[in-house]
Amino acid sequence: MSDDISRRAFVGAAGTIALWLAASPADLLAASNPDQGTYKVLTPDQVAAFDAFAAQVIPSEPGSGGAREANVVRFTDNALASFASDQRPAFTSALASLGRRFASLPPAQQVAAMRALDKSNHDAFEVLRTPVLAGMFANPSYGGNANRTGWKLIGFEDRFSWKPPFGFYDTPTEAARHD
Amino acid sequence: MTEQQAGVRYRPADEVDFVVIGAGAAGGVVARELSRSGFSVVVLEQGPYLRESDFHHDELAVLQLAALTNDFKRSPNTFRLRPEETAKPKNSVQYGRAVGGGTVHFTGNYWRFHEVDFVEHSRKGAVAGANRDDWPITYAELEPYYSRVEWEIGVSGEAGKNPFDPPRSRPYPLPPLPVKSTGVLLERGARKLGLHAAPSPMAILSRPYRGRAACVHCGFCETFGCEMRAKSSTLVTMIPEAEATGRCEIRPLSYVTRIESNAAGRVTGVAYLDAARRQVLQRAKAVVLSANGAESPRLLLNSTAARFPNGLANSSGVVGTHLMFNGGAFAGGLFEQPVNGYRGTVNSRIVQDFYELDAKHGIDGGGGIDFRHDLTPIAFANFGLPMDAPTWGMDYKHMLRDYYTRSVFMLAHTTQLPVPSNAISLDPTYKDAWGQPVIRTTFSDHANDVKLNRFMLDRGMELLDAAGATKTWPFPLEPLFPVVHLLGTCRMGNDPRKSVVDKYHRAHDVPNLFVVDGSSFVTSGRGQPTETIQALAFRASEHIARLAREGALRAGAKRS
Repeated sequence: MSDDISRRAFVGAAGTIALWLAASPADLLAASNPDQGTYKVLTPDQVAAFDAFAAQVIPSEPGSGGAREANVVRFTDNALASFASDQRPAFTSALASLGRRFASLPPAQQVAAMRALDKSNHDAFEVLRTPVLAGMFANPSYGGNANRTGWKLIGFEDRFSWKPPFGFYDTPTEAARHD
Repeated sequence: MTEQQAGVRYRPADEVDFVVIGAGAAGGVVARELSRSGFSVVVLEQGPYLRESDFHHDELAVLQLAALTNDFKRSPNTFRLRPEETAKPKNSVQYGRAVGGGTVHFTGNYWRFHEVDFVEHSRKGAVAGANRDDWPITYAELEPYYSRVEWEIGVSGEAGKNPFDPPRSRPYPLPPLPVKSTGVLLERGARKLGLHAAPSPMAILSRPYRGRAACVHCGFCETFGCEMRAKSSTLVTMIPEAEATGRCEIRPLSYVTRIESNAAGRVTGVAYLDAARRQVLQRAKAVVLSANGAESPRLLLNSTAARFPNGLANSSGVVGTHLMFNGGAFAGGLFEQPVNGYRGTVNSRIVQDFYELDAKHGIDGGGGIDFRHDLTPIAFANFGLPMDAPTWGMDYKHMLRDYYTRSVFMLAHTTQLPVPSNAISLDPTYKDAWGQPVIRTTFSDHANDVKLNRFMLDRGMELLDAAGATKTWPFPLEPLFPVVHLLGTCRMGNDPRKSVVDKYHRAHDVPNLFVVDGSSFVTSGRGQPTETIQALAFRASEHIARLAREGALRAGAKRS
């Protein structure tokens, strides 16, 4: 990968996440602790399509939850209904570009459709990928990261108060090693 | 709480001794020093007055939604590479927008500048394409004020451990924060390469200090507010001490649009829009502008008058020019065992062997390096993995699982040369939500700085390798916008034709106007400007108070 391409990808991701996630504190309050009833914004077809998309971005495995277990679709619906409402048109159109039958495609064909979208319209792909990551790793109060699925995956503990040693290398024996 | 606090109130029609614009790193110090010296002070702050109860470890709200920084939705920027281009909308500069300013959300790296930073021009000579100059003050003149900063706000560190440290008159008031795994690994790499790792000096309390609690190592320093009051922001140090004098009023949610001046060429007050967007004019005998390196020049340029057709204090045409924000290089390294860099302060050890480069490299300036982990989970999932890693799918998931706790990030902080055409100016087309022209940034890297960042990236990656990384990866070298550390745009100097303020931060053109913040810098140093901003603010305050006491700020007083 050339420096130029990697640079574009990097900036593109930063730009997308900034766009997607730009809200007022009041919007955030409205978004926190969502109920688990009907979806506010997404239609049943969109729920199915985005659920399939999210499950390919961060797949589930035995013993290790993915986007599905983290309730990423619920998070996204909630976000589109509140702090990310201005992203609704872009989200809807990006999701539609995966094709009407996306949810019912066999997994290999879903992956192929996603690769095609990423290649033909990277920005649209990022409009869909970004909320998957936010819903996977944000504070659970926004309805995603259910049961801390995302944080458990990466090993982030939300204790918010630590004492040394923080990791392996600052244990007294390791820190004293002079090799 | 975002509303005004209890305490002294002045009426806008009252002519107060000073209006300070901006309650950040510099404005907080100036407000405290001037009110302690017996003067009446009104501080106008664009952002809200938040308290530690408002600070949460909520990445979505704080980091991604700009809860503590300028809001690009209401206050957009434009950007262009060169002056002959038409600027396009782009989030180009970022700064703290709250009482406490950038010190609320900063990382707390408190590096003093070194002696060379003030005299690099005369030592090394001119650099083509840059307009470097010596500062009108030396490190020795500023040293007592560095010590004041460290003791007044509370800085943790260990004097004598860094062989490259400039001379100091006092030790740190607090011992260094505990070493982290990232710090041990930097020590290990440095030892192997014959370099010197030293404890990071940080404006975070390692022990209780002046009624504030010690750090609990939550790991949410950078971009977050500190709910323990352990981070030594002006919000929990200078501001409450200013208010305690009974002479200082902090007015949050006050958006300054103009500094008013009269036919005699003196400033008379400050116009702002309050929270309800009502126009208010606060009268003042003198004004201290501490709005940061982007907002200070913007305000001067927006305050034209018959006598100041090019903007206030801008007879030189230098206002807004020579923008610098420090360069950098960023790389990742994967280690075998858990590093858990997300716990504790952002870094704990620094290497400054490359602060001044040997002439054989043919590169001006230099830099410092730390090992850190400052990517919270959403940011890590977006930006933390190597650039050629997958961005979705099972392999991506497994990499997130394997990398988050075992990654170390190398950040090099570097010189950025003062280039006249790199500038903050008023955009001729776009207006913000308050109807004011938006900040237009013009910036292109100087070729020397590109070479310097490449050099530092290579050294940093060698350090990761030497520390035992099983894999290392670089990140792109170009500046990532929006940029922070906004410096140099109202540079100080002895020559009124080439600088905006004198060595005491007094505007050359306006006897009762002072500009005190990162805009005063003549050179960028090597990163981590806040301690220098505050040392300058303590020093400036002393002189401003003296001038006011002597009557030298009154109309008709002769300028010394």
